[in-house]
Amino acid sequence: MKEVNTPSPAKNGAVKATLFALLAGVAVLSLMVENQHPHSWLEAHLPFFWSFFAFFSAIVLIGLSKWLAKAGLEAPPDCYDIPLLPSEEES
Amino acid sequence: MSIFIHPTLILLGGALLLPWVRGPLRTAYLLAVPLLALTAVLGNSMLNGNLATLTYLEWQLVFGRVDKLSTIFALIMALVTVLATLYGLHVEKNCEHIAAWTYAAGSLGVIYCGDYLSLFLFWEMMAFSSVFLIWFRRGPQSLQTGYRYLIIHTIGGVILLAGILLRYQAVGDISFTLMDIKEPQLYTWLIMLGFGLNAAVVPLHSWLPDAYGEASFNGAVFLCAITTKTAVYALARACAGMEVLVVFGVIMALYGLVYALLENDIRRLLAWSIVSQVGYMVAGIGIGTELAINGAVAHAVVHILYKSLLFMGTGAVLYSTGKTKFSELGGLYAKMPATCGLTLIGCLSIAAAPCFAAYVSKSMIIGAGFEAHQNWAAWLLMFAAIGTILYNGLKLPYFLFFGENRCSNTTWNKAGDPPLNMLIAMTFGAALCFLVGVAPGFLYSALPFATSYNPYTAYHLVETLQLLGFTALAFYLCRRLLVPKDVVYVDMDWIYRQGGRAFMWLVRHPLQWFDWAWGELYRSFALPLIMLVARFSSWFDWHIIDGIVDGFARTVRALGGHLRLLQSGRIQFVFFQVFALAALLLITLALFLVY
Amino acid sequence: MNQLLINSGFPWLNLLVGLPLAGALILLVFGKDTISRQLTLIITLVNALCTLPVLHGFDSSNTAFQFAHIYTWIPQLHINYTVGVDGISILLVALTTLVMPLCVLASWTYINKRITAFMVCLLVMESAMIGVFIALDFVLFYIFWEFMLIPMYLLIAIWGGPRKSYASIKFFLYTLAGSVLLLVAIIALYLHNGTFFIPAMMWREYGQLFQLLIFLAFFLAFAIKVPMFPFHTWLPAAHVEAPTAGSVLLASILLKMGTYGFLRFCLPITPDASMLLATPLLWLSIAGIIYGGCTALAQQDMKKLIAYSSVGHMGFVTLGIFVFNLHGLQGAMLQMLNHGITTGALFLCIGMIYERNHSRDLAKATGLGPYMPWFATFFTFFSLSAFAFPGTNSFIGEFLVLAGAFAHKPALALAAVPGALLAAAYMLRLLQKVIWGGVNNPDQSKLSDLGLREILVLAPLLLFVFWIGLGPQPFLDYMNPTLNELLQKLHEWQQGQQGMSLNWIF
Repeated sequence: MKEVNTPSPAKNGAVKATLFALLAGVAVLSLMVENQHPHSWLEAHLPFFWSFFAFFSAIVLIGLSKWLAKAGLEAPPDCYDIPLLPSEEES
Repeated sequence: MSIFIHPTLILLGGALLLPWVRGPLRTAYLLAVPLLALTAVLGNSMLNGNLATLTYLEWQLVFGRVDKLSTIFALIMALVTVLATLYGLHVEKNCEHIAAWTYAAGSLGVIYCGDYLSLFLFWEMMAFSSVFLIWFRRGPQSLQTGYRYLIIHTIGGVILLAGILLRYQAVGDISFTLMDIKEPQLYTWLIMLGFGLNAAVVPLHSWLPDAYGEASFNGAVFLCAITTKTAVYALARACAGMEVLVVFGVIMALYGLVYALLENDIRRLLAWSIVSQVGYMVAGIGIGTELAINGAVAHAVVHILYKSLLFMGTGAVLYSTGKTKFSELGGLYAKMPATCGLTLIGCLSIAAAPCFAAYVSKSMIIGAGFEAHQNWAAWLLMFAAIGTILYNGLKLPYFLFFGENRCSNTTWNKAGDPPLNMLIAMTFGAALCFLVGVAPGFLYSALPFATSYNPYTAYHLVETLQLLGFTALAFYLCRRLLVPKDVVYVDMDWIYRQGGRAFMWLVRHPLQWFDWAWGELYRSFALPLIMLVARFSSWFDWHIIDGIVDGFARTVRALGGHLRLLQSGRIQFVFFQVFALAALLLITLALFLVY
Repeated sequence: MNQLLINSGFPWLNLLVGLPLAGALILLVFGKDTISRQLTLIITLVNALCTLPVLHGFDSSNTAFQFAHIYTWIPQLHINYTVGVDGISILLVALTTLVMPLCVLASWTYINKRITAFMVCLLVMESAMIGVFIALDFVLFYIFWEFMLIPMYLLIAIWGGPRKSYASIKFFLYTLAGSVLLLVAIIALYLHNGTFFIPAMMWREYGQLFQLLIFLAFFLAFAIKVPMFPFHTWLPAAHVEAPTAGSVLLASILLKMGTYGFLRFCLPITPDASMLLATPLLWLSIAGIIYGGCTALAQQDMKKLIAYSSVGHMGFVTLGIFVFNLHGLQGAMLQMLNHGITTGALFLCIGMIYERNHSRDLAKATGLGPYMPWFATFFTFFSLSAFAFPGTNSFIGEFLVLAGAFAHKPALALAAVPGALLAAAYMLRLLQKVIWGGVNNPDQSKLSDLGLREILVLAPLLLFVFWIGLGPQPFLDYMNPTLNELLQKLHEWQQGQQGMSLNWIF
């Protein structure tokens, strides 16, 4: 029998709040830390640069992969087993 | 110790003797052999130079070239052999262990060799023993997959051989060193392609997800570490600094991650991840600076550590449930807590979380890219790092261990933590990932070039935390989009898989027909011609020649018949005939005498 | 006759030719089925042992023909019994005497009717085959060459498979058709030179057209024997229908006579024509390599598969010969040996399956591995050798041939590379099917593994697979002086003569 431990909504909410707080904390930390060797202008001057970079890159990647999947990469699991020609034999 | 002990000999000898080791001794033996090999590698690490040479025909073969590059690779290969053997300790069939050890032996041979001829020997040894690790899965697809794997690797081997021969003819020796990359010739490209196929460089990469997704649960641990990293070693040795490798590497990093993000099979996802991570290494080799090569080597070492851990974890899922698809799994943390925890460490490692493995290596490569002014490459690799966090740090654990439970009842009942040896192996792997993450000094001191790189700067730490945190946020918001579906994703192998079937059809039907027809020429043309001539001769013989002979014979017989009549027996006739004959003779004589 | 080193010791070569013949006569007169096998085995083993003193006493630094004998035979026509060995022929003689006892052992239970007659045929064949390799008089050579046809024909026609009459006649007619022109060429050379002594005909000034015609006449005979594409169609039929011993002799020895002919006759006697026609012959070899590989891939009959693979392998040999450099010639010579050993071994293995299954169909022989482990081991190693896996004999042979081809013309060598790939493909397919099969393997549990006799048959061949693969130097030492001299003379000829030259556009 499957047992699904669903935590109570209150617990869920507490966890979420903690995580968001941590995220905000990290973002604030980024403002305080000095970059010794910035590799690019963006990095050196834009606040919260890496946060934005991460978030938008992730969105782009997810979107790109879904688009590619729809564009033809997806196929049914037995796509290689459909015979090419009627006179097909073993390998 | 000042003598070079080749670990390949230990592993091959161990493999050969294994069938005779039985009973309780077997477990100890299975552990002892790879440990002995590891000890040999540790002993060899004190040495330096070209050792263990052999003269073969007109060539000098070098079996023991020891320097920092080969030592570090040999160490990690020997280490992963120990871990993987421990992981598969309970496998009963000897042939599986023999194949795995031969495979590792081939890899160590390549790493320690100093000439192309022995490299080729060990290269083929690797290909032919690793295919068994796929066949031993004994699934319905395993046979075909293994056969495809073998053909592709043979093609790679043949390309490599062509390159070696051309180079030998051009340069005059077979030593395995850095090639002249400033002026690449045909042989440079061929050798690079031969190595690149094993490193799963796009577009020669499709064999990897195909084969590794189909490997046995413990074979996959060997496979994920050995072939590709040995190829990385070979590229680092012979092709360091080839600019085109940067392009290839970046393409690999991005290509692999797109497929990994979509993939439904947990081990195919990891296989695509290999393509992606090896892309980092290949790009590092292409950049070619000291920092870049260091980064590539370091990344290879940590990659072996965390990838083997990840394959061990997913292998455990396969081992207990028999399933590998996300769409048939999920929510397994409740039934497999230890596996879940240890695999999570692997996921954190690959995501380059601070205190874990890839944190100390990935940034070396990216930093080297920026320093060498290959900014576009560095930014794209950074972009790919986000992707890595997405599919491997977030998607894999979430949809496999947490989240919605899509298991069938049977699967759920079967799920459970694997046997002790597998857990111990995973624990060791996880511990090493953590260790190398918090104390990278050990790793850095073993790298080919001296380095003072420090990944634990405050900036780097915060940068990584931002990356992790905000990618996680994006994932959380889009998690519905990434729910795995029971589909497959076609890749370039579609071309040659369908092409291969078409080729076989071609060979079997039109070509066979042609050969049959050509042979039939004898039967339908030459033979009837000969027989026609023969029949004509026979007719001629019978009717013409024999006709003459027979006719002559008939005439003689007729004559004889007539002559017989003359012998009727009556005296008068006889006298008449005698006198007639005598008169004829006398007249003839008279006439003759007169004239 | 300074090319000959007259033998002053024991007449080993005469013994090698004469002993099997004497044995055949004894068997004909006194032979009974019960003892004929043992007697033949003893004779062939003695012959094999007698090759050892020849190998040992062979002076590798001397390029003259050694252990030679000359006896006057028909003085009016200048036909003598002249025999001798040099670096090329000694290894082929050794191959012949090695393979013969193995053939006898392999036929121990395979042949069960008219055993005496079979053994007589084998002995006569051995005599003729050795004679071909050691003959230094053209007429003697031709006699031995034709002499082989009758016993081979009988081997196929009496003890062969279902279509034996078709295959045996086809083999006979094909080979005979080739040799007819050979006789014409021999006579033409005699009329030009006044002698039948082969070394005296080499490196002579013949007219260009004469050389060309002689070469073409030789070429036809030898190309059919090799077999080169497109003269190969007799091979699948003959191999498939012949009994195991017949197939082994065909593959191991008879095919080598064609390439031996190229090395011994075409190159030294008609060098201009050889160099002129080298390029088309090289491409013909490539065609054979690729074609043999493709057709082998499509086969369901195991013997036919190996037969077509022979076409491919011999393509490598002719490729090595006509690139005219040391690596190519070394590789070609080595591949002659290797092919004899490996393909002979594969035919022996398939014969062992046939004895158990009574079928050559691949589909009936799948999944043998778990029930016949010894067989699986031997078969695996021989298959690895067949596609030139490093460490085996064929690897070093193919490596040298490719090295020679690359030095001559890289495009040629690159064209040959897919052939190596095809070889891997069809051999792996065969190996994988036979050992593991698929999901619908027939029930092989009743099959017995190899017995002692069969292991004794395969073991020496396996030994040579690894000996030549890992330590080929001794074998190369035998052939190097002769090959070096051949090449040197060829290059001198090239510089000295203004031979016909065509600039082939490819």
